[in-house]
Amino acid sequence: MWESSGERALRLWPWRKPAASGSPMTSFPSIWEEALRWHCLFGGWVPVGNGTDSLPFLQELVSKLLHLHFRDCKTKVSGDALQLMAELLRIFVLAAARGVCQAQAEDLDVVDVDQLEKVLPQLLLDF
Amino acid sequence: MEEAEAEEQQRFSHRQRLKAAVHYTVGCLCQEVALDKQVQFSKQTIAAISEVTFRQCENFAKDLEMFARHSGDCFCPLRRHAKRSTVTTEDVKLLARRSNSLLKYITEKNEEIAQLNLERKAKKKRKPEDENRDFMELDADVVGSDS
Repeated sequence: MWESSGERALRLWPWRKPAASGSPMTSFPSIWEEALRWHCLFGGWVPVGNGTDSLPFLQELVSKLLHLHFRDCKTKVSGDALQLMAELLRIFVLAAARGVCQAQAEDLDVVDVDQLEKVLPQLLLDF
Repeated sequence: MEEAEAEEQQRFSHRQRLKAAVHYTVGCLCQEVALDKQVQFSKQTIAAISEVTFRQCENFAKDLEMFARHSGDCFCPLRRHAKRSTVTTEDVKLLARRSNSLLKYITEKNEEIAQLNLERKAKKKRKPEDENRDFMELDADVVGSDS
């Protein structure tokens, strides 16, 4: 059976306890609590750019994300590059979110994963 | 059952914590867009966007590392570049090369950040210098009054 990317993302979160059989897995406040806890552990707020930007990716989080995938452990990232990367990631998420909204039909209120699947190819080509 | 739970706890590794942090940030950004566009994002959509972002970070990281290392592989006869182990803003700008508008935005942002950092450094330098100047003027007054 074909599984959508959203369902796959839900399935992969390891801290989600298997729901009781029959109950739909639509609400999971515990994921937000868990996510917030780890988010706060990855450093305090650091303004990016002119400081009036909306919620930035934390520099420490960006640094850890990059270092997770570096092949050479000696590779470092300069402070300016970290700030720029945080901005790039912010743009990426905003582009994804806005693209999904635009693909949304006007009479529907809730944006679903189907719209994301429509915009994903162009999004990944642009980045 | 207890063994399974313990195993699950162990599997909750560094990688998953990072995913959780990304998930929260993505959720906040999506919430802002939702407010702006007067729509609601389903939880699955936010989860999917954060998964895509996390995956894209892997591509970014590997590219950045390659860009930095590659900077040493040039056939310039005039000077020898050492292979870099530090990723710089030039490497990040290379990441944004696929879309013209994105490259333009990132280049402008880079200049903004550089300017801000310069101002911040200038402020830090100015403060102790100001204090020194005050002390020196004080000494001059004292010396002047004695003579």
